[in-house]
Amino acid sequence: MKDRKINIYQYRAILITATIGIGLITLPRALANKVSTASWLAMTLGTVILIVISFLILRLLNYFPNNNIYEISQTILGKYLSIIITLIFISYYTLVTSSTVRFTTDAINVWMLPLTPMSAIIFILLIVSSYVCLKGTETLGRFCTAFLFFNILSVLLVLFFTFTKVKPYNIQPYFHTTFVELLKGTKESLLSLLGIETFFVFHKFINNEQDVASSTYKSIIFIGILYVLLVEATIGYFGVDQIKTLVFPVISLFKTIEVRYFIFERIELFFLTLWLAAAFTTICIYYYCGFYLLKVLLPKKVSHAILPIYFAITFYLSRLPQNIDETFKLLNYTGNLGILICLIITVLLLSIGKIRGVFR
Amino acid sequence: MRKICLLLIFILTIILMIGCWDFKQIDNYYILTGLSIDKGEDNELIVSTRISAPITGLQTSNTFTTEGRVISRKGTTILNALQKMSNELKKEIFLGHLQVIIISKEIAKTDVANIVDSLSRNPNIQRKLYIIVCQEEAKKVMEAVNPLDVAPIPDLVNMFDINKTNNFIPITLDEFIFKYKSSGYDALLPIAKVSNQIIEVNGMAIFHNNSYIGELNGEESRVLSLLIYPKFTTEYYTLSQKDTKNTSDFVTVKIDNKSSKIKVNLKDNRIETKLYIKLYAQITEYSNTKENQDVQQLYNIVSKQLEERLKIELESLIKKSKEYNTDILGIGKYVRAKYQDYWDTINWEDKYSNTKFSTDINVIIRSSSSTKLIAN
Amino acid sequence: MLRKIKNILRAARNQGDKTYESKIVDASYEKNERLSSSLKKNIDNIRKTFGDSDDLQIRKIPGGSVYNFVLIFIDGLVKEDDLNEFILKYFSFKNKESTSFKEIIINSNLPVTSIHEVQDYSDIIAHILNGLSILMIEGSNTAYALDYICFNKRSITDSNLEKNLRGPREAFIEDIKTNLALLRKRIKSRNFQVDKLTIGSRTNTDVAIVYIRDIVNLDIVNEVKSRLVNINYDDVQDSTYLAHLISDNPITIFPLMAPTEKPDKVSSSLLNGRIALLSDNSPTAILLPSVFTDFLHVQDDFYERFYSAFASRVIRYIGAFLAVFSTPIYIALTAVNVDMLPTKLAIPFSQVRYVVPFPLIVEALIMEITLEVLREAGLRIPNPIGPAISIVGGLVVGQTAVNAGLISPFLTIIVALSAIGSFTVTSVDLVTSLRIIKFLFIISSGVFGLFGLGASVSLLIIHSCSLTSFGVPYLAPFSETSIKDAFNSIFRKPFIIDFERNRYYRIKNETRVKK
Repeated sequence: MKDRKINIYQYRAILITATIGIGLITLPRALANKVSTASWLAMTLGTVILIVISFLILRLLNYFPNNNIYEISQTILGKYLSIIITLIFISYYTLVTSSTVRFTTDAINVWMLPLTPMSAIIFILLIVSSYVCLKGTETLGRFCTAFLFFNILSVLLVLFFTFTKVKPYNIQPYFHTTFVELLKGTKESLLSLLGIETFFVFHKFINNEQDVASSTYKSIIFIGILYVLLVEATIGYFGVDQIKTLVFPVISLFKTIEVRYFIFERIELFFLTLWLAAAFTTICIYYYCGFYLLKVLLPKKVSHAILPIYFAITFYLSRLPQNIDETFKLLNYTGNLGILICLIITVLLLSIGKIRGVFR
Repeated sequence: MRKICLLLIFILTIILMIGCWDFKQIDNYYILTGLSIDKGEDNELIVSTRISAPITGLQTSNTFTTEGRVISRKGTTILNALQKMSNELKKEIFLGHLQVIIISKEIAKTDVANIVDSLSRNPNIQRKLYIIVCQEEAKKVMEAVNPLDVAPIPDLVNMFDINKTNNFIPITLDEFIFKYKSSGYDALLPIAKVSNQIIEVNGMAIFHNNSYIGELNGEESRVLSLLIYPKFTTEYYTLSQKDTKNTSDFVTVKIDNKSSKIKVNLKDNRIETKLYIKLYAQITEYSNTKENQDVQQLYNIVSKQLEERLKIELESLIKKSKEYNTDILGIGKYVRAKYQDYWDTINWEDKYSNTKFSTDINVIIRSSSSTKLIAN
Repeated sequence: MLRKIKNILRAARNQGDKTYESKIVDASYEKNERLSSSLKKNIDNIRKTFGDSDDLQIRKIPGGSVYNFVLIFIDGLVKEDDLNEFILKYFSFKNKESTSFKEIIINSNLPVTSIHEVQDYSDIIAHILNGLSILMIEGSNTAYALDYICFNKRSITDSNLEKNLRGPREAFIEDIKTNLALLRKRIKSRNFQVDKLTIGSRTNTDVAIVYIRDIVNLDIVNEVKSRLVNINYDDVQDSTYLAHLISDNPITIFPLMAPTEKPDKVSSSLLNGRIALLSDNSPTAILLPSVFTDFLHVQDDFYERFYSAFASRVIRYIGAFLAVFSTPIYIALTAVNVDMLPTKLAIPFSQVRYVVPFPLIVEALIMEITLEVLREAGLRIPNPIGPAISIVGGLVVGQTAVNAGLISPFLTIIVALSAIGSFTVTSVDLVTSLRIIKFLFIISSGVFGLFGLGASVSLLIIHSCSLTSFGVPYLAPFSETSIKDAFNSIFRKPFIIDFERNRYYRIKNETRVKK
């Protein structure tokens, strides 16, 4: 029972905070570009698909309650293939970390600190995440639970301020879209709903296995509802035409909101600070996942020294995009990789396991 | 190893800390609250602003003084002019607190696209600043100082915030961009005029295809605001009294609340629009109080009279908008929302003038304020 | 000649060594060595053990033919009047009949609270050190320890540190017996348990672990005991020493155990399943495990009606927030993220700062450090000088510095706000760490604005997430359990619906009363 460090609340918090991240700021634009006013449909479909994916993943993980992805693939595929699979996972987690870090840095650079060099901001973000890595899973679970409030608050803040200002003609018509567009939109919504793939690492730490499935679905549905509301509120506020032109639609939304006679007239920075909390948790979770798998893969002697190297690699990857468009490309690419990993590797492991009869 | 790691991180953090890249103290800036933009010779822009006179004594730090100086510089773009300005003022100019921008008519005709783009791209600039078109030179608005003003620009902004006159509709940068960039909507801006150092805002300028094409007067703006302006401010209508022979008799109706709706219908390839306005009012002035007055009847008469008057005004507004072929009511939005397939096949600009309008105005008079109408 | 001097020096050195040795000889007796029947040998041994310390009284009483006995005690720890009475009574008894000594002791109505038989040297030494008087008899290998302990102790007064509006005012004093009695008086339950230990290799301080047997998690009690036993330190002056010594993380900036002087607070904490640690010579009890919110709660919350308790808790949270964040946020908003301020504030801020010669962050640090110096000066100052400090501080910092243009008036307001906020936090331990944390925040928000503030807050929250107090996570209700627990920790429940204890202390028995 030594490893069972995370209780069900912390587990739920990890899932939610891993999911709510950069999607919060960019999702409305991404969806409006693809499916315009039928965004809510794409979002709902995305949530349903994600539930199917998480069903598959949990199916696989439930056969091995005490193992992480490396040990699972080792039992199913043998030593060498499992190393490859783990490496794929590590590179995926690293990519997610660095692209998220880079996006956050871009947002901070545009809105908060225009003169500060990017490397300084990336450095600070990664240092905070590295500190979590030093402290371990327990701390990460508690950290996510403590920050869960801020994550949800940042979404609720958007809803609160736009609720009365949603213009019905901006979100109509509800169903005007083609099938291909809808598929594209659904993929786009899946990108920002990903977060379930962190379970390949965290599942073995949970001390209350029976509730895992139900609380996973509950959390995903909760996030789905929050995001549908967020997308509808933002599109209803700005209209599709304008939203397409905004890089950070939700932050721009806060720039237009008027809170006269309040201490802080300009709440967009307040929102940004809140959103930073959401970004921090996402970065920390993925960064820790990559670090943990690396530690598992390497022999004990080397694993202590791996953090600086891992830090340097992530730092380098985050510096890679030349401009914000490339950042978006990197984010897209990483998201696609995530969907592929979730689907293909899970199905592969499940079917090979079935054929070989590994499961009892 | 872990300790070395921590130490390394610690040292690096300290090194990072030393470079205060964004440490820009607030006192190193001129915080501008208003800008006016005029057209100069050679297609240059003349950007002017009011800078409050620097104060030296701390105890009397009266912050918004009328004793500001209006300075203006020329430049090819706004930023260019501002850069020149900051070079001469020996301080950097900070636009984060910009609250109002005044553009002259010539600018409105030619350069709106550039200005809007430059404003919306700057992350510092608030998207809730007000834009005004000035009949004359925009600089005059900047220079106008009413002896009653405490601080000219914030007072102007305050007027837009509370908006008590209804002769114009305050438009923020965000709303302007929203209407300006999207199809099926035409943008409007309030028009200001300066006479005897007094700024008077009355009427709206209409924009179509990136430029100023015409204007609505105060009356028309008032009717328009009933339909498209979500906030409501109290409004008085004075009507001549028809039920007596004496033409100098009058009745004043105060409108307390309103609700309005726009509905569109597609019939025979033609858009039919129905405008609903519902007003709740009370009689506040009545010059001819007499005995045995049937109050209910009076209410009916007055409300009918007001309905007719509003209908005439509204029809003239619609006529004007068809003349200019501008969709100031935003009918296109409703059409797009309801008949997306139809919308995709047509060019709204061609179809707008063909739209059929019908109005449904309903005035409900609730009371006669605190005095009875019947004289004893 | 030289050789002579050398010899003298060597002799002197040897001499020195010898005396030093005789002083530190601790065990002139074997371990577990029993008393011999020779009184003289026993006395010699004891005297040697104490190194002829002058306050060790060895009073020989010639008892005629039958018993030759001796009383050994430490001067000042014993009520000498009672001791004299004992001797008189004893003699009067002895003269009547010549029964055995044991019988005399048992039958006589001697004015003594307790008498133990002791046979080991080590026990005798411990008893003497604890203030008991030892009675030894010629020819017997059993000694008797008589309880005539009399320390001079303070009477019970109210606490200077923890003030309350309502509720009991009495506070702990420096005597562990009195303190335990104060607790026992409050919890008349057979499950109230006191476990005593002696800690400190030289001070041999009595330490009591107090808990309620059927509520507390005994794993935590055992953990506390094993940590106490493993303390390797010679000095325990106060119970706070213990807190520092057995802390989960001795180098963290946050206080992990809550000291208190109020017996009512201790007993109510005991009923919530916590453990109290008392030490002799200390008016402070240590409550453990403690989580972060415990430091923001006061016992007054339970004496007030729950509305006012809720209100004052909220005020305290706001005060703590202001104490830490008001200056950093001011710095972030005026030095880096200038556009977040309302326009009507931004313009006066910028104009007033024209004359101030220092950069904003330096100005803020100067102000904060001055404030800390003032506060530190005021803390332990003798009473007559107190007003002088406030005059100097108030006049120099508040008025003159602003008038001279050294410091902007807005910053003075902000710093004063943070000082006032810090006064609402009643826990001295927490407030000290908050004040240190504030400086970190000021610097980070001066460099990176709100982003730096956010990053350093995250770093600190991660750090406090990694902390545990005896296995209980430091941010407990917020970092691991459901919303219900967090809600209960923020607001005090009205007693009529308070059926359950807080779960996050990992206690055995959660039901307070049956529904």
